[in-house]
Amino acid sequence: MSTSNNKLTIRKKLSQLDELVAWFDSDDFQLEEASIKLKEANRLAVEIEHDLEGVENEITIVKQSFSTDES
Amino acid sequence: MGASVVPPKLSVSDFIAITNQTLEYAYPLIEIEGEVASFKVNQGKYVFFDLKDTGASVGCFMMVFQLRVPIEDGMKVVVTATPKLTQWGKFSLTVKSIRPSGEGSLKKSFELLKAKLDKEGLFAPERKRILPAMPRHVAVISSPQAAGYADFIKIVGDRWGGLKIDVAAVTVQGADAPDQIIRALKYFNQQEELPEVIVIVRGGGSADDLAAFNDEQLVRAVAESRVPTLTGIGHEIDESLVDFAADIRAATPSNAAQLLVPDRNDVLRGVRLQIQSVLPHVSREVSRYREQVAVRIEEAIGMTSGQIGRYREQVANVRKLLTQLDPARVLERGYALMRGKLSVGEVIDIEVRDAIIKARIESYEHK
Repeated sequence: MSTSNNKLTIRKKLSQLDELVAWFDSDDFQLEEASIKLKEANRLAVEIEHDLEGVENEITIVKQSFSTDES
Repeated sequence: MGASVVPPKLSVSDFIAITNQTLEYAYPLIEIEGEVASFKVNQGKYVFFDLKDTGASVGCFMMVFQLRVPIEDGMKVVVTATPKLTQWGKFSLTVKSIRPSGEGSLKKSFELLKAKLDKEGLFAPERKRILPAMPRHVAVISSPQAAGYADFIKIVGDRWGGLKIDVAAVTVQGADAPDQIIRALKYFNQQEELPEVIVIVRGGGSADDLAAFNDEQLVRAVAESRVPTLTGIGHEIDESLVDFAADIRAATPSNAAQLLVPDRNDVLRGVRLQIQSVLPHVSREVSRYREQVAVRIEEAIGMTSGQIGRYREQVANVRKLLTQLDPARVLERGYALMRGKLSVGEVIDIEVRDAIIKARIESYEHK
C-alpha cells in the first residue's frame, strides 16, 4: 500500500509514526522540537488514514493451468 | 438350420491383446470400492494387494509413487484403475490412484500418515515461520468458484486494501486436487518476485471432500514451501495434515483472512491513539517548563530584592559616615575650625559652633 504523496508503504509509515511517538518519551525530547515532530506525526496519521480508506485490493487470476504438469 | 458361426482362432498373445483392448474400451477407467487384503510392497517400488468384498476378490497392482496415503490391510478404499489381463493370464487391476473410503479408513490413514510425518519433523513447532504483519503481495491457492474463496476475498477486502493477490485456480476436491495444489505451490515458489505468503483456502465439506488435504505429497510440498504458508481449510473442527505442515493454520477461510491482514479500523484507532498519547506528554512538558520558569523568576526576584537591600545598607553606611564627617557636627562637639596663615602676628578666623572669631597669632611653635 503506497501513499498518494510518495512511495512509502503504510508499513513504513506506521514504523515512522512509532519512531516519532517514541521520541516524545525518549531522552532526546526537546520542547523546541516537539511542535515540529507533532506536526509530522499528524501528517503521517492523515496519510495513513487516507491510504487505508482509499485503496482496493488487486486480484489477478494466474493464467497458467494447474490441471496438468506444464512445468 | 442356419450357417454355423466359426469361432475366431487366435494365438494366446492375440487373445490376451484383444481381451485387453475390449476391457480398455469397456472400462477405460473405473472406480471400485472394496477392502484391502494382502497388501505388500516389493523392492520398494511395486505395490500388490487384493481388493475384496464379501463375495469376491480381485488382485491390484500399482507403483509406490502413486501411493499418496498410507494403506493397510482391512482398510476400505476406492481405487481408480484399469482392468488388465496379464501375459500370464492373470486378471488384475492396474491402479492409478487409491484413497481411503469411509470414516474409519480415512481416520486410520490420517493417523498413520500423521505419525509418519510427525516423526520426520514436518510438523515441528520450530519449523513454523511468522507471517508478515502487513503483507503487500500474497498468493492464494483455491477454487475461485468456491464459497470459501469468496468469504476469504470478501473479508480480506473488508479489512485491508492495496494488496496484490495472485490466485491459482485449482480444484480443491477429488483425486486431481493434490497434484493441482502442488503445481500451484511450485509455481508461486518459483516466481522471480516471491509472494510474502501463500494461502490455501477451501470451504467446509465432508471428510471425503477434504481428504485431498491429507495427501502425503501435498503435505510435503507445503512443508517445503520457501514462502510461508497459511491454511484456511474446512470448518473449525476439521483438521488436515496440510494444516499441520503449514506455518499458520486458520480455522476457516474467513479466519485465514483475519490472520493474513490487520483490520484497517484497528490500525486507524491505533494511529489516533498514538497521536492522542503524545499530546498529554507535550502538555506535561510545557507545564514542567512553565514551573521551571516560574521558579527561576521567583529566584531572580529574590536575588534582586537581596541585592537592593544590600545596596540600601551600603548607602546608609555611607550616609552615616558622611554625617560623621560633616564639619558642623565636629563644631557641635566643641571643636574649632581655623582659617588663615599660621604665622606669628597674622590674623586668623576661628569658627566655633555659633561664632566666627578673629584672632592674632602671638606664638607659633612646632610640636
